[in-house]
Amino acid sequence: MAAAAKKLEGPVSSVRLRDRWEILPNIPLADLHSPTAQAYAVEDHRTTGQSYFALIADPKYPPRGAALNLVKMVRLPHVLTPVEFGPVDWTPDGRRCLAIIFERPAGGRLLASCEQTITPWSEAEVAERILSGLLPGIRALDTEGVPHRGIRPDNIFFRDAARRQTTLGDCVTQSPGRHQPAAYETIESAMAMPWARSAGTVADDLYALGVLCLYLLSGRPPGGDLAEEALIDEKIKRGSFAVLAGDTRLSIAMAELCRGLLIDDVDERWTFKELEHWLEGRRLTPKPIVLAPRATRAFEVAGEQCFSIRMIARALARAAEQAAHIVQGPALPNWLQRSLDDKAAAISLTKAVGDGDGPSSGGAAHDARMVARAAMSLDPLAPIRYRGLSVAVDGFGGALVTALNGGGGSVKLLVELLLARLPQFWLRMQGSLRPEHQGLSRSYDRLCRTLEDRRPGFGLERLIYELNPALHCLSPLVENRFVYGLADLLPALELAVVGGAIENHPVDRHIAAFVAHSSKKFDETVLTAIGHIDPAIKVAGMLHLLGQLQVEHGPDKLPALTQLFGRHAQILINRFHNRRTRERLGEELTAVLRDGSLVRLLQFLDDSKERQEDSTYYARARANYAIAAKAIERCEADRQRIPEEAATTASVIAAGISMVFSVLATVGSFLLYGHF
Amino acid sequence: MAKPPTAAGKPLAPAKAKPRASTKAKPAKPKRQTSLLGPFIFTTILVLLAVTAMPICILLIAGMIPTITAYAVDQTERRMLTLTVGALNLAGVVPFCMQLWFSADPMQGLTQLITQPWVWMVMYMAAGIGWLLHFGMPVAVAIVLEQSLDVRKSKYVSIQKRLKEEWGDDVALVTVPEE
Repeated sequence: MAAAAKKLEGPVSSVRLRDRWEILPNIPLADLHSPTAQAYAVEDHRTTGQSYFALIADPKYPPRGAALNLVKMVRLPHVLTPVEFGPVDWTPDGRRCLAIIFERPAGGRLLASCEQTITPWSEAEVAERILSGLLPGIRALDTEGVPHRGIRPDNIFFRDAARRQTTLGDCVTQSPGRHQPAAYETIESAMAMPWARSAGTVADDLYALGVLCLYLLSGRPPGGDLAEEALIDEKIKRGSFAVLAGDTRLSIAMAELCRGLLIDDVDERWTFKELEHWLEGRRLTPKPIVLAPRATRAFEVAGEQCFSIRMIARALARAAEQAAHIVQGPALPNWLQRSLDDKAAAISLTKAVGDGDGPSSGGAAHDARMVARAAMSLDPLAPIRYRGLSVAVDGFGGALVTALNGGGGSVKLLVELLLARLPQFWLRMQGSLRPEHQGLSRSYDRLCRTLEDRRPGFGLERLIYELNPALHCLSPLVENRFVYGLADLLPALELAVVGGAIENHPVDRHIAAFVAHSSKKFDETVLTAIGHIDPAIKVAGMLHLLGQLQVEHGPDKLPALTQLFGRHAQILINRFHNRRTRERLGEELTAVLRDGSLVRLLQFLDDSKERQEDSTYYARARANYAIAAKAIERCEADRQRIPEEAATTASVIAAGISMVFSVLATVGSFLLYGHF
Repeated sequence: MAKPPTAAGKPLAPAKAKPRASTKAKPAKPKRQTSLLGPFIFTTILVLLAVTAMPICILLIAGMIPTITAYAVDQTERRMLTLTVGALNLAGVVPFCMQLWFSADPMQGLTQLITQPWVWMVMYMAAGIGWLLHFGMPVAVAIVLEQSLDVRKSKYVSIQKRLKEEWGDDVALVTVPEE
C-alpha cells in the first residue's frame, strides 16, 4: 500500500468493479482507511443517491470470508456493510487486489486513534449515541453468528453528517481482533498474538463496548500508560474493570454498566438482556467482581512471583527452559495443594505433564510440548502457548498467514504445535466438550493428517487454505493476479504464461493445494500424479488438473497455456511405445495445440483406451521379442554341436553309400559273369 | 570362522570336495567289448572258402588288405570306418571273385589276375574311395547343417528387427521368459 501512495503521484486510470463501480485511485479517503485496507472514492454508475467508498484490502491479510459473504447478503443497517466485493486490477500497485465497496458514512470516524485524549462525553451521549446506536448492530451480527471483533474508537463511524448516528466499522478486511488494543480484548483473547486471536463471541464485542464506554466517559485511553503485557498482567491480578477504570470517577449507573460489561468471567458478564434493562432505566444489583483465588505464599517462576494459577501458567509459558524443570518437579503440585488448596489443579497438572510422549524422549521440543500442556492444564481458557507463540484454538489461520508473510511467529513452530496435537489437548482441557469443540477436534485430526501428507495438494500449503477459506492463491506464479476463486485460476495462469512468468510447469504446490481445497469434486489420484518422479506422469497430472478446471469453469480458449503444455507434449507422446502412434500424434499435435483447449489436448495425449491398447500390444511385442531371442540362443547352441552331430551322421551316411555300392557291385558282377 | 552363506542362505560346500566331484563327474571310458563271434565266423567262412575255392580265398585275402588295415585302425565302437572301407573294398574285389568263380580254371585265372596291375588298382582304389568317403562326408554334412541353421536364425532375427522397427529399441529390454 505504501507503494500505492508513491505511484499515485502520476496519472492513474480508474478501476472498475462489476461494471458498476468506478474506484478512483487518485482520490484516497484517509479518514476511512482501515489498518489493512486503504479507502478510495467510488463513482456509482447507477444513480441511487447513495455515496460509496472502496476499501482495497492488503493482499497479505486474508479477509474474513464467511463474514464478508454473510454481512453483504443480509445488509445490516448499523454495521458498515459491504455492498459488493471482488478482485480488481489495482493499477497503482500493478496487481490485482480485493476491492470491497461500502456505503460511505457521512459523519466520518468517531476518533482518529485509540490513544488520544478527548473531552469526556456525558453519560447521556454515551447511552444515546454509543449504546443505542451500536447495540442493534452488535445484536444483528450475533444473530448471524458473526461477532464484530473490531469495536474500538477508530472503527466506529457516524452515518450522518451531524455525527449523531453511530455505526460499527469494517469487520471484514481483517481477522477477528487483529487490530484491537489489549485493553479492548478480554484477558484470554489479549493473551493471544493479535493475528492469532479467536473468532470469539458476542461476549467479546460487549466487553469491547464496555471499554469504549469507559474511554468516552473518562476521556483517557483505558489502562493508561501500561504496556500491553503489563496491562494483561494487571487485568489478571486486579480484574479488568479495576485496571481500565483506574481512578476515573463514574456515576453509579455508569459504573454499574462498565463493571457489568467488563466482568472477566464470561458467564457473569452482562448480556443484551442486562444492557436493555439498563437502557430502560432499570437498575440492577451490581455484580461483585470475583477475582481468581490468590495464594498466601508466592510461587517463583524464573524470578517472577506468582500468586494465582493463571499467573503461574503465564509465567511458565514465558520461562521456556526453566519451566520444564518446574512442571516436572514436585514443588508446583505441592504449592497448588498447600497454598491454593486446589488438589484438582495439581492432579490435572501431573496428568498433563505425563500425557503425550514420555519424559524419557527428552529434547527441547519435548520440553516445550510438556510446558505447553502444563500451561493449558493450569489455565484452560488461555490460548495455546508454545515456544513464544500464543494462538487461540481457532486462530491458526491468521497465525499461519502472518508467519508466512513474515509478519510474526514462525511457520515451523506452528507446524510443530499442530503435529504435537496441542489444539486437541486444549479442547480436552475444556471440561465438557461443546458441539463446536467436537467439530474442531475432528478438524484438527484431519488437518494433522493433511500436514503429514507430503504429496502436492497436501502438507502445509493445503493447511493454509483449509484454515483460511477466503485466502487467495499464494502461488508465486499467480499471487499478483489475486486468484480468489477457481474460475479465476486459469485466466491468471494464461496471463502469467503470456507475461513470461511461467516457462516450465504451470502447477506448483500452492496451486495444487488451492484447487484441492476449493474444488468440491476432486480426484486425489491427480495430486499423486503431480508429485510423481516420472516427468511424463507429472505433466499428465497437471494437464488433468487444469483440464478439469477448464471443463468446470472455462474459459474455452487458453492458447498460451496449451502451447506451454505443447512443449512438454513430447514426453507424453513418448509414453506410447508404438512408433507409428508416436509419429501420428506428433503430426497431429500442431493442429490440436492450435485449438487452445487443454481438454482437447488432454484427450489427445492421454486417451486411456489408446494407451491401454498400446500397452497390451507392447507387452505382446516384448514377449515375442523374448521368444525370438531365445530361439536365436538355441540356434547358436545348436551351432556348437554341429561338428559332433555332423561326424555321427556323416559316418552312417558314408557306410550306407559304401554298402549300396557294394551290393550294386556284387549284383552287377554276378549278372555279368554268371552264364544266364 | 563361519562359512559364507550362498544366495539361498545355506553355507557353501567345502572347497576340497570339488576335485572329488569333478572326478565323479568325468564319464568313465567305455571298455571295448571284445567279441569272438565275428572273427570266428570270418575264420569259418575263410576255411570253408579255402577248402572249396582256394583261388578266390587267396584273391579275397590279398584284395581286402585295406579293410584289414581299417579294422586294425578303427577303434570305435560302431566301427563305421571298417564298414565304409570294407563295403567299397568288397565292391572292388567282388567282380574279380565272380570272374574266378565262373571261370573254368580258377587257379589259372588267379595267376592271370594277380599279374595285372589294374586289378590291384581297382581293388585298392575302391578301398581308398571308402577312406575318402569316411573322412570327407562330415565336412559336407556340417556345411549342410550350418546352412539350415542360418536360415532358421535369420527368420528370428528378421522378426526381432520388425519388432524393433515398430516398437523401438526398448522392446528388447526385457527378461527372457522361462519356457
